Amino acid sequence: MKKVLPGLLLLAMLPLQVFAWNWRTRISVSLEDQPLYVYCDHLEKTYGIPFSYSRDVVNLNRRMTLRVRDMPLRQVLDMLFTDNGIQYRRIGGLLVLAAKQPFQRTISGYVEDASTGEKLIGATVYAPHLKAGTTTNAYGFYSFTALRDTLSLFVSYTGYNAVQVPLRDRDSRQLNFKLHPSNTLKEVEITEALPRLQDQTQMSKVNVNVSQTKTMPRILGEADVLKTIQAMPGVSGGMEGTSGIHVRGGSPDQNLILLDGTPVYNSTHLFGVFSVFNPDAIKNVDLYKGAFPARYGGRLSSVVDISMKDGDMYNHHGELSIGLLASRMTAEGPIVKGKTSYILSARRTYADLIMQEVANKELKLGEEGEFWAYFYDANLKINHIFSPKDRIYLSAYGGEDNLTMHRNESFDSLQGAPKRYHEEMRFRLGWGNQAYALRWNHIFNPQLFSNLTLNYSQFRFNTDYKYKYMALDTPRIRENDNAFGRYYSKVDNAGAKIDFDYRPNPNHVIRFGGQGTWHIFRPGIAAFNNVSDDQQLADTTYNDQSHGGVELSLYFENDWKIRDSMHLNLGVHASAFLVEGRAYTSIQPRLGFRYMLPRRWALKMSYTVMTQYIHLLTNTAIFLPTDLWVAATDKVPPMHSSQLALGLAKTTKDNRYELSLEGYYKRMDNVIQYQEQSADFNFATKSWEDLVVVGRGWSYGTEVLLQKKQDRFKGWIGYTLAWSRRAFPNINQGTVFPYKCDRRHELEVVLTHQLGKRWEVSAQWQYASGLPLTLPVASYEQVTEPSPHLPGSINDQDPIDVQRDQYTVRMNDVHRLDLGATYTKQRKKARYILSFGLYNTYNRKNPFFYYYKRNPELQRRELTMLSVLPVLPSVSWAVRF
Amino acid sequence: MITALALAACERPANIPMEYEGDRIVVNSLVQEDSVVYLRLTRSQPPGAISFPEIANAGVRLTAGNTVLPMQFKTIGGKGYYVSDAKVTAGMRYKVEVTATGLPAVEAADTLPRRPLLREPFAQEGGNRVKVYLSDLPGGDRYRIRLYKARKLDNGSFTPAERRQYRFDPSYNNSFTDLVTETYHEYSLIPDDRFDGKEILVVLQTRQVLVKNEVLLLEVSGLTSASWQYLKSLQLQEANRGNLLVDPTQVFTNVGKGYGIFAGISTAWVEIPVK
Repeated sequence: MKKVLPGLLLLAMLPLQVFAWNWRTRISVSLEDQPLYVYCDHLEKTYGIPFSYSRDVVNLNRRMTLRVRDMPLRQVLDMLFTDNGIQYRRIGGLLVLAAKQPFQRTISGYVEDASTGEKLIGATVYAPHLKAGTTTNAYGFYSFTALRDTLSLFVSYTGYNAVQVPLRDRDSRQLNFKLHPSNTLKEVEITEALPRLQDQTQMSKVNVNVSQTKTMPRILGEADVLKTIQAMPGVSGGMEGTSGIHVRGGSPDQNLILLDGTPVYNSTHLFGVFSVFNPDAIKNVDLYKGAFPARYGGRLSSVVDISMKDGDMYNHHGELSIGLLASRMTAEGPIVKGKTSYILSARRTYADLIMQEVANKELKLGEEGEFWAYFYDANLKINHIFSPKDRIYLSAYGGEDNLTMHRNESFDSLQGAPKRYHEEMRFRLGWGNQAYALRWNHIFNPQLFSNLTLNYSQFRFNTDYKYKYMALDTPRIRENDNAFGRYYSKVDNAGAKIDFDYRPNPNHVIRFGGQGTWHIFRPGIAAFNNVSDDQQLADTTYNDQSHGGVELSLYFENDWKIRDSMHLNLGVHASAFLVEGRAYTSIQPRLGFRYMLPRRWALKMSYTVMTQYIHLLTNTAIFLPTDLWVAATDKVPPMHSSQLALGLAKTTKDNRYELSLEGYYKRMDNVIQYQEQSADFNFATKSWEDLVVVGRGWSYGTEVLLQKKQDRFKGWIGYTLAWSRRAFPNINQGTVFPYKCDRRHELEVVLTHQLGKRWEVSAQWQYASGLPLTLPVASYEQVTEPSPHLPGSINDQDPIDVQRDQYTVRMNDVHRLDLGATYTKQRKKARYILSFGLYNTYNRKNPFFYYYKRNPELQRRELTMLSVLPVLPSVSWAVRF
Repeated sequence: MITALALAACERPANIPMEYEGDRIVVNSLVQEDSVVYLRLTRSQPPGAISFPEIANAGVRLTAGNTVLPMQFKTIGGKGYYVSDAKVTAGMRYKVEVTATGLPAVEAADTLPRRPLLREPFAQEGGNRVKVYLSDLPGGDRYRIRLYKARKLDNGSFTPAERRQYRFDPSYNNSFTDLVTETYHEYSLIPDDRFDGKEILVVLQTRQVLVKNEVLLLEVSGLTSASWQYLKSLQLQEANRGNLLVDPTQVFTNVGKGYGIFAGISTAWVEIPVK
């Protein structure tokens, strides 16, 4: 009996023990950011609630924060499991967990402008209650995989009214969002929620606001996206007034400039004064200074990814603009409404049209003479929607700088002496780019997007002349010439590229793809033919050679959300360059890391390696269209760079301000420079390798960017503290010396303010430390005669200046204030825009160039500073309809 | 636009502290075949100087192979030269060593190039073309071409009296912008890259109309590597002086521990009577 009684008591207590909980059991729990299995352990230990589940089926690793007190068990279980795709049931005394099948779905599609159908790049698609979201890619496509019962999506983009769209069903599907511009006239009411800086793993990237570019002060009325890029920290513009960009101590040839995915080799008009990109045709500009995504490769220092507008799908529009320098036109509209659209824009300078007569007279071109000096560029894009899953884009760009002189005239004197002759001469000098891209977007499934690109681009420099001369006093004087000459250089590349964008779940964004590019280099070819007095004098072709090379690359990138506070971007870019029997290969890791600190500051780090297989031969102080592109060789191998960056970033809670601080260290190997004493250089003959030296470069610095992107008052303040160094075996005795665009401090302040409905004013102030300068260290007498008894030169002969070490001194600091104002008037069907600009408002004499000038009074040569670009007013007028 | 920018340009003296390497010996001599050596010795000066003190009491040792050639200091046209007693002959290596008080000793050496071959010069009254055949020999050659108005000496020979400007056939030096910009030069430097081992007809367009009975002298000099590098880099430095777009050029020197040039040239002269 003594043994039976305890046994009965035990049996009686068992049900009490097993059924010690029910759905109304009051639960208290307070845990922060813990996985679900910790909650299960807590319930089991504290309340005796046993769980049963298979780890293979039920994922209890999801983290949650839950603080409840005396809450019924069912409610607690709902809070824990329902949103995480887990269902629960009571079986006996056990709480059995199982996965809901399926518990996720994928919403994908495009985000576009409601009125034009223009795809919006970088728009945010966000599920508020999940606090998770995504952004559209370069084609306006998004894919968001979330819990099946996601109730709504919030879609936003700068300058557009955000929309919140309820999701009534629970299936995966394609959903295109149309956003309405928030501005009527220029009254921008931004309700944007671009991904906050702390929500982006990407660092060292700047998105250039093209509309703000148009309201910023301009030189001679020409808005210029590259000049806007120059105003960003980490970017130096080189010589004043030029559009060259030096990013984090790199040279302009190290910038990969892409127009709709196609490289543009020379990005400037007028020897670097203006960029070739017409802002009317541009939709989006992204600048990467470091932390290069794996999909980019081929250059060392930066990527400028420019997307052209697609064209209005629903209505026809146009714009005409007249400025001091150039006139522009843009037309866009549907070819088939809602299916096919086009945009065509073009601009041309017209100084030559005005000065034609003066030039003819001054240059003695004759009545039939011609004088042309202009640049033009044109962009065309056609985009067609085949089906909800297939779109095709055809982009074309062509631009050229051109100088043509044609003389056809008879003369009756030469240098004041009687002489009758007829001269016909045609001279042309020009350079330009062409870029074409055909792209096909295909959505394989809601999670997998692809883009196939076929592209071709070319940069060409050409100069040629025809010269006919005939003495008219024949047969007494028998003189006639018939000469022809041409010099050109060219680089072509044709390529195919496939990109995939795969978003399996909100924790992973995977991009992968490959590219093949065929390069052809023709680095300086000359051909001459000269017949004098019916006698063939010369028929020469020089350096008529071309070099082909194939560049292949593969990339993979996973933007991985490890947990809410930690993201990792793992990428690799592998490439090979096959040229004339040689092969160079490179594996380039691309790593990014983001960790959320208290107060929503993001700590970001990146490490990227880049390889560049092509070199630009230049012996000029700035980069000119005459510079020659050549492929790497064994003696002059490909360039490599590795860059480490560390930064902090934050967007304020109200999205008004963005602040980023970044420090970077970049090392560059196999950079090249012309050797001292090398001759002038027109041809990259086989000996070009002997004229350059191969060396190393380093750059490091800190950048601060504070931006205000909303409201009527916008702008940014950027500050850069930087060092950029180079070292070559034969230059400056092999010691390290500053790079020619090494500026220690740069400060940029750009402000725009909307005044009422019609006026917008802007100001830009720039301060920069002086550039390095090479000055002679001695002068001495020259000799050109073997004997003092020979007659000397007609001209004064200056002494020889000894150029020793490069860049040992510095120019003066520069600063400048530019102002702009835009007046906009909206009529029923047209908008009129009048823009004023004042460049260098307080007429600062900034140093442009230093040289020695003979001072006859002092009987010596003085070091003289030359300044250009004084205060320059400008005005332009445009009408949009 | 560029013209407008240039017009708007403003110049003013700059105040930037500059380094100076200190005084050095400057050796200047283009050693010409069949001529005595004229060696000019001066001191370098801080950058910007236009006058340079002569070194009159230098220790100068000129050798042709192992033979020492005596030199005398002479003043010619107001300038001091060390002049060799003997003429220079082909096939020898010439070397000069110079010492001067308070300055690092210097030395330089070079040989002589081969002399150009010219034939059938032609110039016509009322015209502005001078023509001559130049026979290039196989192998790398470099030439300097100059044109003079000649003066007749009492002995009936002609001597150069005045430089004449001209422009050269662009087929060989790429300077076809000269045709457009109406530019004429005092000299041309051309390598034989495009006519190695061939005979070419050289055509010079003179700036001035040719006058009857005038005699022109065409000077074509063969250059050694050193004299070519010196003259070419000097041409570039002069051409690029004040050029905003180009980095300054370093002029070649073969004078160790000093500056200047000591290099060989061989000149062929041809008389061209204007017919």
